[in-house]
Amino acid sequence: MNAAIAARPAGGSTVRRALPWIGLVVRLGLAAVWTFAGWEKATNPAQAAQAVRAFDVLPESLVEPVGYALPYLELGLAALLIIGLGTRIVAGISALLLLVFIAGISQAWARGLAIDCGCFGGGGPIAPDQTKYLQEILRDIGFLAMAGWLLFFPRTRFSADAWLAIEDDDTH
Amino acid sequence: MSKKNDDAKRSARERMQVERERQRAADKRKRALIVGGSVVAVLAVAATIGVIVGTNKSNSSNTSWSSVSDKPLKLPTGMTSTVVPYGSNPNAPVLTVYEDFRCPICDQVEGKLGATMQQMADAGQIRIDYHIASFLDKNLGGNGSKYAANAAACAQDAGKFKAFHDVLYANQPDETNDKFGKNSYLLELAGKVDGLRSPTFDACVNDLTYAPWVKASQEDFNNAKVAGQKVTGTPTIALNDQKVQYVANNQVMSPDAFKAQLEGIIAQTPKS
Repeated sequence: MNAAIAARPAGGSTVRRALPWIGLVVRLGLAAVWTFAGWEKATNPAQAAQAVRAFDVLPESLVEPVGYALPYLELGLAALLIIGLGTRIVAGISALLLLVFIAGISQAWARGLAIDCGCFGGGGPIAPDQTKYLQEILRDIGFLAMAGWLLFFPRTRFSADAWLAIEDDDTH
Repeated sequence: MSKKNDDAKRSARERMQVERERQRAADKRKRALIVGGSVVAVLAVAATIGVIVGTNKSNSSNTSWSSVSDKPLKLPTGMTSTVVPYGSNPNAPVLTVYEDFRCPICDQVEGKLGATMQQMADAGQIRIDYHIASFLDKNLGGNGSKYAANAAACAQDAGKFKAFHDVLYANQPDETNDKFGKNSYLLELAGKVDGLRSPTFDACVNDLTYAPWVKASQEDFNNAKVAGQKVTGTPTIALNDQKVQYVANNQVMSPDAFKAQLEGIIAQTPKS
């Protein structure tokens, strides 16, 4: 009886101690996703713009600014995730961006547009039998889960957030 | 007395505690504000850099092209709009083929069904309107779609658009290879079409004479519709404004099936 009671807090604190480590892995994983996605697009801005155009949602005047800004925004998110600054806010923005992507792919799918999402570079109209909407959406949902984890457990090891909050943690 | 003193001490300690608590909360808020502010600032700066870099890059890669493509539009010989007509009977049902010279699926379709389309056009059953798009240059980087389209328009002046069009597809480089972006290569390919090369043709290719047409044709493609639906990619084929399928079982369909489909649509449409 006593042993059982004593074991519970010990187990709980193990989990609590593991959380920031899991958080670190998730944070760096999401950073890798954004780095890769941003880099592929940043090296070819015109193609990124064409990928945005192919979704056929935005008016033409917004297509190029959005197409050009998006890769750098993704790289910015990656950089913030790597240093671990504002993890919760960055996770929130990441989740929002991923939801927009999922919505974009879904509407293209529903409308029967034949496009490649251009998620990691590439993009634009392709042959109807080469669309991979389901895989693209499932993959984005996986990334969304990572962002969601960080939204709920933003405390991670080796992060600027932890460093900035050092006094705070001492007194607790 | 001593109890009262204790109480006073305790309440002083509590007040200090509350004060410290408030201080800490204020600090935390401030920190959150600074962190949030930096995050937004970093992302805003990143996005701005992206727009500047992107705008510069797309302008610089197209300087020579944009300087010629904004000249007044001049249509190649025998054309009344941006489409290139082909066939023995100008009044036959119109098969519109939306193509980009760098598009690999267009190459597959041309390779398998091109001969069928040509036979039907030669026999006067249909007229082919080639609608040449060039957006793949933007997708893939380079100038191959635009330069090849320009050269094809020059070939139209010489009455050999269709033959040169077929040679281009037969020699299409890998999608990401911008071989068509070199006029020297296009002229070399033009040598495979009997009687196409001439000083006039070569000058037309090298001077990008039909750049304004290439641009206008792409703009028309951006607004093109088949049966009220926006054309979203190449290849798209339509007969009498009715969408034509070219894929069956995840590959380009057989010429016979394709021909039967076209004849079916022609039979449906009332003769005018």
